[in-house]
Amino acid sequence: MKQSNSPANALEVYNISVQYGQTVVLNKLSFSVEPGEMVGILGPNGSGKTTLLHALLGLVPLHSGHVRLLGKDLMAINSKERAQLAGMVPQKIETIFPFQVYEVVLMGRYPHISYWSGYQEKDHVMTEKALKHTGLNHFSKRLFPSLSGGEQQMTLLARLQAQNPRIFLLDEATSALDIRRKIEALDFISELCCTQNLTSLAVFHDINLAALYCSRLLLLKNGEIKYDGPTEEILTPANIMAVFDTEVIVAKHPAKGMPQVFFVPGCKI
Amino acid sequence: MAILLGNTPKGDNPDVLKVIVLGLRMPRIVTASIVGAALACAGSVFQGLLQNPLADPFTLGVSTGAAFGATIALIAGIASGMAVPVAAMVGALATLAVVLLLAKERQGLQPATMILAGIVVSTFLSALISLMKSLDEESLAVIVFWMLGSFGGRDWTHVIFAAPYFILGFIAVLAYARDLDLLSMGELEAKQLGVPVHRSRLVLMTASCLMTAAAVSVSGVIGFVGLVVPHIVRLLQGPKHGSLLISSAILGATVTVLADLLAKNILPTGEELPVGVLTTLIGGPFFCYLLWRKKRSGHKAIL
Repeated sequence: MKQSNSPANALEVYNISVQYGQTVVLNKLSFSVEPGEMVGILGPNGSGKTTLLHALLGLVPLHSGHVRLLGKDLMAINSKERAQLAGMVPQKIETIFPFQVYEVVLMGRYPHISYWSGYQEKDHVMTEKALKHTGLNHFSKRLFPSLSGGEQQMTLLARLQAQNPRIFLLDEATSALDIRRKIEALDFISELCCTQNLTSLAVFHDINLAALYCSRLLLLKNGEIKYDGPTEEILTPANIMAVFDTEVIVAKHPAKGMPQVFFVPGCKI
Repeated sequence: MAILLGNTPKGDNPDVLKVIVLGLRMPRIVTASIVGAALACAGSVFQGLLQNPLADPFTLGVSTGAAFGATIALIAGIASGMAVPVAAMVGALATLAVVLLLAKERQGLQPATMILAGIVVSTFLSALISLMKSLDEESLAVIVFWMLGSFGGRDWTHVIFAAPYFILGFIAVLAYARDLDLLSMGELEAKQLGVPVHRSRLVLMTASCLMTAAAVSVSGVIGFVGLVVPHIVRLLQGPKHGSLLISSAILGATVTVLADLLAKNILPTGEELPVGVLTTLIGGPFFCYLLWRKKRSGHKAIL
């Protein structure tokens, strides 16, 4: 599957490297993702997870290699076309300006509007729909900077929904949500992947959550892909030790059968 | 118009009245409106673009550049007609070019670098102005008076000089208002949602610097309008830049015209106060009030 050039892939990454000055952050990564796949990205701090998502959107300059979104070369499309294909929920955003939740979600429609006509009826309909879907409709007049971290994340998830791209990139997008909202948000995204053939790449810190929702895992360390494959094969104590330097026990989820990890306190390597 | 007419003595010959209103009062009011609107508008753009509530139209050193140009003209003694505004405009544009050149990185214009470049250039030019002032003490008063800002003696040539920059700049920033909304949420966010960040930033930056340069060239440095007016408007109707820019322009124009009216009439001796002094005197405490209000409300958002 690797390095396949068939346009059937939602995402193709070939030999990409990213450098900040002399520091190599991503080192010759190659992989491809099929439509409908939900891929979890795991790795220790500073392993390049966020940079990888940014590289897939062209937000950081590539030192080598290329990225194709739904068969289109990232370099050959303009920023609006790219934002129609792929969208991201960042870890968090800092803004000092008191935009309302509604206005923030509406910004997700930016890649679909033209310079002269601006936001149309359809964009407002999509915004309302996204707000309703995420249960934020009572919230629409609240000011974004005054929301809690979790509420801000819900707003950004709603914005991604309004943006309506074919590829979802989630950078710990559910980390600040309470358990119910976390499960709801991930259920919703995995349902989209199944029913509408959307593709999702999600960075997780919570290994178990990743294992519950993603059929495939990418394990990153020092800017390289250490392991890439089906969750059942990848999630082993040996691999977790190799990537995270941490001893774990892996057992099956009692109801769903996916592998889950258990930490062992006080265990010195 | 009532204000205009109220100031003229009754029973005057209608022709004299016409000259006073059309030739003296009107151009002064129109100049003040353009300057106020341009400064408030540019202030909104700078605050959004640099994501900095303390940014104002003078952050990038455009005003110091204009003052430098004007100082040279004043010292050279060519203070007649439009020489000073033209020299100020040249100074402002040259400064803008230097700042943009300094701040240009491989990745385009970075807000932090732009602020730094602005401060460096502006500090250097201030020192040069001080040097020239101390070398030529005769011009000192004129230079100081010019820098404090005034609308005294402005005629239609000033209006014609500044208006095109304001009109073109205003149209450009309005066309990019939605991009500015996204840019004010952070560069990465804007980029991610498909804003052509470098182009948008360059257009917004150049347009608002041109507006500022034109304003400063005809009026000198009028403080606080560009800083405070956008904050007041945001407080009243939110941060969406489409309406923020329009309302800021209207409020900026109103405030400046009123300040000029006050500056003309406030001193019992009949002398004119530099309008820049007045806007800063009123704007300072008002800004403190806004800050105090914000602290009390405990909002994370600005003001």
